[in-house]
Amino acid sequence: MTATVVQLRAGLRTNLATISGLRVMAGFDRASVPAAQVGEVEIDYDKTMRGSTGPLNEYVWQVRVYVSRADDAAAQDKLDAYLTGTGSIKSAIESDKTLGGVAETLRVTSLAGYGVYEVAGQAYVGAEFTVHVWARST
Amino acid sequence: MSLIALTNAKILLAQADLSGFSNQVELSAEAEELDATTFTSGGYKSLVGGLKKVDVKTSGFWNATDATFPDDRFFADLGVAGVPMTVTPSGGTVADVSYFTKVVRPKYTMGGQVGELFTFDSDCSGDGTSLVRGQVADNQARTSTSTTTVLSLTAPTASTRVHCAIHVLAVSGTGSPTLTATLQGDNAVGFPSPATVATGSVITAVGSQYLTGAVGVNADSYFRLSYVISGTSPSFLVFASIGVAG
Repeated sequence: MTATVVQLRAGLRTNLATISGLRVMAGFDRASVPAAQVGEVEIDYDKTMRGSTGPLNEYVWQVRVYVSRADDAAAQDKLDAYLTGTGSIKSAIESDKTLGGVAETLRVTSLAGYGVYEVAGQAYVGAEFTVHVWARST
Repeated sequence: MSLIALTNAKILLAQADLSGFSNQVELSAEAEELDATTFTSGGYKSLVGGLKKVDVKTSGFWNATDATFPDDRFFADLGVAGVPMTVTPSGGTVADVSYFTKVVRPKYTMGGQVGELFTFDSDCSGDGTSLVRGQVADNQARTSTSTTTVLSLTAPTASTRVHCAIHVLAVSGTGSPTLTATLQGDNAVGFPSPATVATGSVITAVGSQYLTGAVGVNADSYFRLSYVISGTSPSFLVFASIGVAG
């Protein structure tokens, strides 16, 4: 199986959409929170030889989740619920490690950047997850 | 030939194409240094080449499904001699340089750290067969009786012979598809009078064969494979190399 960046991003969005009550942003527009955004990607090409199935690439995605900042204490509680355990960003993204059959595997490796983010002029409380996806390309 | 950024090496072991699982390959050939120094050597060590040894190391990401996948293949081959192995640095276009031999696998290691991809390391040694520096003879799906492109090689001498490694990576079709490969030589590129060097046994499934001719002077310096294929809609994915060595 080979994958395009479009397919991988769509697969991550699909997995995030399994979290009840969490909207998945289509791009970088104003967020209707709580919302998740599949953001930037870095690609490390050619982790294997090409072979008959295409080379294995490593894609490093930044996935951010935003909650309302209207009440700071409530915002922290809401955000903290997405960090670990059932209903977390990690468990949702890793619920289908093949992203619908286009990836070899993936892992949510870390969380960082817990703080205030500005999206389309609006401030939100959020955090950033790093997701490593291994997939083949043509 | 220009420099190669190693992204498309072909690494084949029996019926397994390990290329897409591998990220490192090392092929080494060495001859023992035998000291023949005497008082008349002029003040320098005098060395003679002795027994030769071949080692092939591959590393990559563990995967398992069937004998065309690394874990299944390495486990099955542990301690088994006579397994054809081919390495080409540049993807396997016909006439590209290709190194091949038969190996025995004394060591297979797998492991990794938490969170990292599960990896393998495989060490093979030549089983006494020469390491052949030849050319890629074939790299395609064969669906009918046919011959491969003619390769121009050095003609065998009194101490060398023709070698051929054939890897069959996939087979499909109905009506019991078969492929029989014959290694042929001739003294002209047009192949006016093909001579049989060696004929392999009938192939009906994925696997590999290693064919050799007789040692000795031979005027033929052009070589090819001739396939006889039968069955209904047969298809054999073949990767083959031909070369001349001891």
